[in-house]
Amino acid sequence: MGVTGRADWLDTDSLLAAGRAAGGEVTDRQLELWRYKGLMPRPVRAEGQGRWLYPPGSDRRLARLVTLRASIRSLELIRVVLWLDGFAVEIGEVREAIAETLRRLAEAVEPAGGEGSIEALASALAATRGRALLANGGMSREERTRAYALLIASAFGDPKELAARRDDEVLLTRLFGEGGSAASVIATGETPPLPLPRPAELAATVVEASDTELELARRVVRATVVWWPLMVSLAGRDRPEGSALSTLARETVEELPVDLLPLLVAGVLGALRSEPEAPERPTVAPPPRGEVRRAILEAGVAVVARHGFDGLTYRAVAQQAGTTHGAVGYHFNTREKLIHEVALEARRSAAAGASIVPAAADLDSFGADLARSADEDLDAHLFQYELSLQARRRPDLAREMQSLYEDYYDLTRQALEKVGIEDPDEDLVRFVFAAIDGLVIRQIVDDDPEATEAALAELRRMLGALGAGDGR
Amino acid sequence: MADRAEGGSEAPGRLALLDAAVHVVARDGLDGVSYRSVAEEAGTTAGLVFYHFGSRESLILEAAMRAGRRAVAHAIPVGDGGLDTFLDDLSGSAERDLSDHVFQYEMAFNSRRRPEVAERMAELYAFYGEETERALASLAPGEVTPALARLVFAAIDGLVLQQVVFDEPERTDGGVRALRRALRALFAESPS
Repeated sequence: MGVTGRADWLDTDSLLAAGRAAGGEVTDRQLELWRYKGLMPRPVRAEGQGRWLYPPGSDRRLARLVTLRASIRSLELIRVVLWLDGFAVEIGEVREAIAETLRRLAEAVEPAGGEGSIEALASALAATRGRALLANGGMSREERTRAYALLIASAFGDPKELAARRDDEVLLTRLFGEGGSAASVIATGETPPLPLPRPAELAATVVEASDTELELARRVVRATVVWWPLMVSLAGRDRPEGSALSTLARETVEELPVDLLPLLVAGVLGALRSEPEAPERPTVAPPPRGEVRRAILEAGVAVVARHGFDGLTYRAVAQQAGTTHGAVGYHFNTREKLIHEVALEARRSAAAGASIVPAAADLDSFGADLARSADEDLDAHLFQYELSLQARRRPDLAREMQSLYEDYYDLTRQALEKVGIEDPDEDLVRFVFAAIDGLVIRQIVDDDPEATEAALAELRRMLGALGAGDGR
Repeated sequence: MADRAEGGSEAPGRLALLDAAVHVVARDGLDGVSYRSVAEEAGTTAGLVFYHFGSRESLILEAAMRAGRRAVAHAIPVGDGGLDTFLDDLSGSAERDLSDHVFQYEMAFNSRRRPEVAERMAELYAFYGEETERALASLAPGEVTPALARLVFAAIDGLVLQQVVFDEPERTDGGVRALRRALRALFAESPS
């Protein structure tokens, strides 16, 4: 790709050496697995040689992975920590990792009463034995539950709950040791208060968050659990004698109550959007299920058309459909599902296709509605184009789009037959539909319906020369 | 080739960053473009990307111009070969310059919500239209209107889009055959 100078890029050997220096023997296989899982960056081949080169910073990243791996078994949580650290990780995968962790948490809480009581959440977290940091403290499950409850009460800033749990601070000391910076500062309740999220909405809050919101949440959480406690340490409260800043920073990061992170991210996201969400609650009874579903799907089409694919969030769709984001989550419990159903909706929306088949059999009516449709059904067209490009990256969408285009080829074939071209061959159908598609794209770009009309007149002349309309 | 002419005042690093931006858009869409994603693609730092382009908008617009120029060099019927050579190679070009094509479609579909993108894309398409008109005129002097050029380029654009999405070059070749047939029929029938 013509990137000059890869002097500071690392070959596999020096990378693995960095892993060993961090205290772990990383095998080629392990490295490949982490690469495959997106936890390590992809290497590029050195020009003119067989060696693979990893981008600068990969050694730091591998060393971090080695230390994380020693205490956290879940790859999802490791991904979340890497993200929090600021390493480049695929944001969609982070979103899914957090959501998946929260879904499991919600499922664990649900039978215990549904409402997100601190006890329910704490006991669910304490039960995730072996996946989490607090599982290592040599405590009974009951003690772990109390430790988690204190951490949650602290992180989400509920003073009453916190006061009731003061006695349990000793548990945190046992876990993190005296002066354990991150956890102990969290436990003093000096962090900013956050709303305690409802378990059922936890995953949805994360799934529907835009990349920007997630990045903001990342910074807030990082500031809360890493930098802020570090500042407190540096201010001298419990700074160990002679410890260097970098050592302190590393220790702070290593002491993160890792399994609380997804919950914190959801809490911050909830706080970020709690204001605009409030007046949105419907005052009338919601319409019957079928209608809400339909309204949501139609809203999805409009949202993709206007804001692109990445704009397809629960919140944007809810706003467009005039419903709550809880309702969207109820009908489509994952973003994947919403996307899939919205794609199916594209096939059903006849607006974009209707303009292909002429109303009458004369050649003059061929494409007569196209310029108007490109204008009036702009959303439907844009939606389908966005989906087309997206289909390159998603095999499930590719299938839907393939069927959609087959429908269009059929419509084009019918249209050609109607104006008098007998048994139009595959090639002609493909050319004519491509021309129609291209004219719509051009009109999207330069908004010149008259030029579209003029080009269509030329298309009719061409079809006439090919035998349409009595060969005129 | 068009790159060279531009490259005089630009450090190679800058062009590499623009190429990286084109790749990011092709892979993740326009919303995927950030200092960080482009830096990662180019194997450099987000700070360097910021240093070169200052804003995300200007990075995107410059990348659009670069992809556009390259598409003109590769994918437009200019030069000695004329329309025939160009059409012969349409499916090949769609395959080779995939990222540039995806990028341009992303830009085209985004033009309604970004006025500055719309302006740039309208210019680019106007240019495509003129070049197509010139190439057609060499086949049938005196019979080619801007409207016909618009139609022919629309067909080319539509065929490339379908190939970009579904990766079926043989269907592109089929569409091209029909386009040729239609042009021949049209020119044969015109009184000249």
